[in-house]
Amino acid sequence: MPGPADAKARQAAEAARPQLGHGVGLRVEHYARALEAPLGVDWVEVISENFFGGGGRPAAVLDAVRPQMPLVFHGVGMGLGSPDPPSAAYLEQLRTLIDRWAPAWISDHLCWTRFGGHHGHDLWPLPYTEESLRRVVERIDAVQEALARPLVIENLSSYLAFAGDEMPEWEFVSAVLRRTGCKLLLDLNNVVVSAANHGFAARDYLEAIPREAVWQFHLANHSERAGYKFDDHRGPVPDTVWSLYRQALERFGRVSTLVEWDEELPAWESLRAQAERAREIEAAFVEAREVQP
Amino acid sequence: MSASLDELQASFWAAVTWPTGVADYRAQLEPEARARFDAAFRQRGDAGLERLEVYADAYFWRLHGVLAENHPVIAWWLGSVRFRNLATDYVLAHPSTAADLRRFSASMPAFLRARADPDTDPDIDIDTDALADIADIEVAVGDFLHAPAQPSLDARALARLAPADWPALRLRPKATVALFAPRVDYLSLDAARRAGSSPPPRLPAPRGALLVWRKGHAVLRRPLDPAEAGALGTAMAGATFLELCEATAASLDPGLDQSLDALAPRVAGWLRRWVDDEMIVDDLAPFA
Repeated sequence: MPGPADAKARQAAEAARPQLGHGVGLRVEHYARALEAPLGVDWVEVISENFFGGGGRPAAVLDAVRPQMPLVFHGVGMGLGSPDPPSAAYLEQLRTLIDRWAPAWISDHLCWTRFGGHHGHDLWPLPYTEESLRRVVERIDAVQEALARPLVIENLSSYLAFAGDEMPEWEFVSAVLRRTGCKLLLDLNNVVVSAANHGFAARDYLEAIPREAVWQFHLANHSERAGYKFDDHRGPVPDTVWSLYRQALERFGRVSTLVEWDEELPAWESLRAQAERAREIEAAFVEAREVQP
Repeated sequence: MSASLDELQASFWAAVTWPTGVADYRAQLEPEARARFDAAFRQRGDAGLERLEVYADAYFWRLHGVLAENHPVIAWWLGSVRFRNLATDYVLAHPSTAADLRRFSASMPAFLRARADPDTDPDIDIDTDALADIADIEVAVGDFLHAPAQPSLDARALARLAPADWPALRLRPKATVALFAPRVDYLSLDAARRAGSSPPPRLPAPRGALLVWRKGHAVLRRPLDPAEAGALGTAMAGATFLELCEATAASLDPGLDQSLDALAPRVAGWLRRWVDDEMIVDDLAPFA
């Protein structure tokens, strides 16, 4: 159980961050549902690049949803650690989205995804070295300046490590947060996946992350494959991730939380139920905290 | 000395995008380069380089999935094996250059036109030009679904127009209107696909012009008779109502009444349908 100083630090971090509540990743499969009736969640997150076309049904969905609730643009194409920086055109498209729909924040991943002018459309791991760190910090600084707002970065799930790694992932992430002032989207499923694939304790990861930088949680599922876990967002949030969510609440306090489900999507109501379960777990944490002497 | 970040990323990219997988990429490296490659990647339990294959598989399968989604008729007609081969060849020839996956199919029509499958596989009678025509339609459908909206001309505004203004009137089709002359009966193929039928062994013969346009949030398709297709093509080129009538008259059988009085109602009927179908931009300001 955290001591009084710990509880005070957690409380301060909780008070300083925006609280959007419990949301769901809104994907193409549920656009029709979004146009029919209120979504019944606290907030939604959408994939930024899916709205670069500027119109049609995707834009109509955001026009319908945005007045109902906060919205976050979650990118998969910024590729902060790629050999080349994000292009001016890419950042301009993000600025257009920001101006039109006023998201609560913009997030993307701590990874690389482009090479030689080509997009991999995947989230590739970076070696955890001082060289990578310098590159990522420089890029985040430039993006934050271009977008005139703090960026929120997400920790990755990964399947391989590099022989030249100079530090564990949590040190790398913490250094990025400290040097840039950006915020963290802590994907708890990714922590579970990478912990299993690389042999570290998920709890150690949480303990090393600075409380005040955590802006959002992701909850999702993964698959068990031969010898490793695979991050595929297929199915409901598993018990291992719910368990880490409880630990994360203990460590960081209340944090805006979002459920991701990207493969074989169920009906919207099933997704809502996942967000409601997260709300119940958070409520139980708050209740237990309040009865503590 | 360990590899630099740029060297590491170059190796990673080359390995995961290698046509036949990471093992084959590694096998073709010179011994010294192979040793550096082996030394760069590690994972718990010294499981070798299998984890790089996870990324290689994900790279091809994700882009294959995008192409299958963007080209449902081609994927259905070719079947899974031939479509997978096509998708793999396309990914290798045209790696994605945009963050927006929707644009990944942009080069598919030209790619298909450049292929000569009947030469490379004489057992398979594939008309790649006809497939390219289908790809043109499927690319347009994807583009139209995401295109910015343009204001639609209202039929009531058109009705208020003075008769004297009609000859100079230009009714500009929206950017989400396209006219095709595919070398295949696209509509019957797509209907069979949607009905869950098996694909026919041969691509069906063409049925004439095809109109593709967005109405509301939906992209619609319908066949056009040659006269309406000609008129729409003329309107898309920026013609006036008078020029539309003249072009229509020129396309008719010389034995038919080609007077403006006879033609105007027919052309006006097309215009009314185009307006009702939200195909025309609200551009009547010059007549206000």
